[in-house]
Amino acid sequence: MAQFESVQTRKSLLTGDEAVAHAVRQSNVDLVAAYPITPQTIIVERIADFAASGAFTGQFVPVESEHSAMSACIGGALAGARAFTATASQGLALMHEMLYAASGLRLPISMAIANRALNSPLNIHNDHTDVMGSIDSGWIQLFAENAEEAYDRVIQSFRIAEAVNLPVAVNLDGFTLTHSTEPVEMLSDEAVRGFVGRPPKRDSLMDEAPKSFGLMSLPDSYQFFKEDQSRATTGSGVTISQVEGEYAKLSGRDHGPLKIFGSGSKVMMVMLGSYAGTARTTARQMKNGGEQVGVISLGWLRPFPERQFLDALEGVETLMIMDRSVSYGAPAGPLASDVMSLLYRYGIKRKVIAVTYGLGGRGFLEEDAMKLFRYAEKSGPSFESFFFYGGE
Amino acid sequence: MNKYNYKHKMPRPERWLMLYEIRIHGRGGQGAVSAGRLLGEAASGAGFYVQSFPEFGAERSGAPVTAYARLADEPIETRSPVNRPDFILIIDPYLAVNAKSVMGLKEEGMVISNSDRSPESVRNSLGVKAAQKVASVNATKIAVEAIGRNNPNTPILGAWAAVSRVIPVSLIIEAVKKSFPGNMGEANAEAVRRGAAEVIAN
Repeated sequence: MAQFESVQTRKSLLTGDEAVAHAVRQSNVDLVAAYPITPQTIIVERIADFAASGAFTGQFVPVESEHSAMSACIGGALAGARAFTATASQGLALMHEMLYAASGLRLPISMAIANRALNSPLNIHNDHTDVMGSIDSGWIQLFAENAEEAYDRVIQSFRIAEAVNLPVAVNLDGFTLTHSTEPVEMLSDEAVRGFVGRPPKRDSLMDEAPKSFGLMSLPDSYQFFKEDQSRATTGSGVTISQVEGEYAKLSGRDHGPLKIFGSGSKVMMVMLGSYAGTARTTARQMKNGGEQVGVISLGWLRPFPERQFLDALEGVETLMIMDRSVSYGAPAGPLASDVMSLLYRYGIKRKVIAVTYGLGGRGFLEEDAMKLFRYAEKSGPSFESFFFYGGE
Repeated sequence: MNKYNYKHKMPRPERWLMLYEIRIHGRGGQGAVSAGRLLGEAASGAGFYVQSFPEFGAERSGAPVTAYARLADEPIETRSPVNRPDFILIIDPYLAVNAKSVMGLKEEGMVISNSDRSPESVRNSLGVKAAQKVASVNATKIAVEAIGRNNPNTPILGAWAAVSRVIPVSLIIEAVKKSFPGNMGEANAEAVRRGAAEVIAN
């Protein structure tokens, strides 16, 4: 595979994986503990290359499993290190137990998830089954639409995690982002180093006075820890916005909690991840033809950007919510369930069509987006409100 | 959902001032994916917004591989594979007899194929229409002579730049040199030059 390690130049052609590796190289990271898995592999390979060449000056620990990767990051973070790992699919499933430890200990750890389907049947391709299985593990969950956004969000993740004492995951779609080559305008090493700084001092295993972490909590206190953690996650949006705003001053790029195209359109397709671009390309063409369709692309899923999402519903009649994972036996897919409970909580009524699509790498073309938009536009009082869409 | 058969004709107003969509066919190991990336790198030097990606999961040595590239004058957001290419680049000569290789080619599109045969012969075996253009170049021979191994991707890129005139050949050479440092860069640059010089269009 051709190499474009244009570390010196500012505008580079990079895959999503390479963009993430560069973000880590630039962000004063002390510890990377990771185990390679498709389609995240290139992130780990590049960081290993950077470690070998001296471009990455932190510790690179090639661990024997993802469970160990997260455990090592937890140990490192408890010792005051800025820690990063990357994984996907089965790897995320294997580290599941430790995800809760990281968030419960309120540790600022960053992770990239190269979203991929889960066994069985075996499938290496993209969907959101992996992250949705861990969505309630107490991590902040951000989503990138393209390689540049993945790069930006990984850099921001360190600042966010350290400000709110919560771990942050940046999701990028396997293959569609990890293995596609796109222009990425990297910031200079100095600019990124200045932006991320050094992690603020916190209680640490390295402190002179001995301390214990992760002790047992009985029924008299456990719920209070969890309530506190829940408040911190819900309230973290303010900090995320501040960090994004500061980063925007540096880069001119502000991704925000969600991107709206065709504000106030009758039909809005709610998307997570890279296929938002396909939906938007289609919506733009249909709008030019006089159709009232738009796209809401979520950049944050945890915390759910409640206020910003509700603000985007002005003039909207139908929400078509697109899920790339299944919650078996549930009333709808996980993203649709989130949106519906939000609407109900605030007493807001909209027609909702929950669609499950794109599982295990199943394609989503402009033609598919258009077919779905047309369905949402034309469906009358009786409509199928929850279905699998599999293309032609 | 499939029971709702709405007629969906895609409205296509002149959104893009300029959009070139390219599909590359090769076999795992010949550099089809790298070709897409090199093409993107070169076109990026000409000021295009670019995107390139392989057909995912097919990259096994010897297996047919497809790669895609888009060049446009505005950021590219769609993730759809290229189904209606302006240019089709065939890196493996044995794929140049398979009509599947040219599926979806635009009415005035162009095929650039690795072949020791004439463009007319390639046209006939692929069933390419009269309004569409065909160019052929013996990229395997050039690669073996210039690089010393069968990587016919770089001569095909040279041939494409020469006959399509979308970007200058010099940008392909620049991208190749950046990608392969030292002697390999020089050898591949020579392969690009020869591909551009020896291609025959019809």
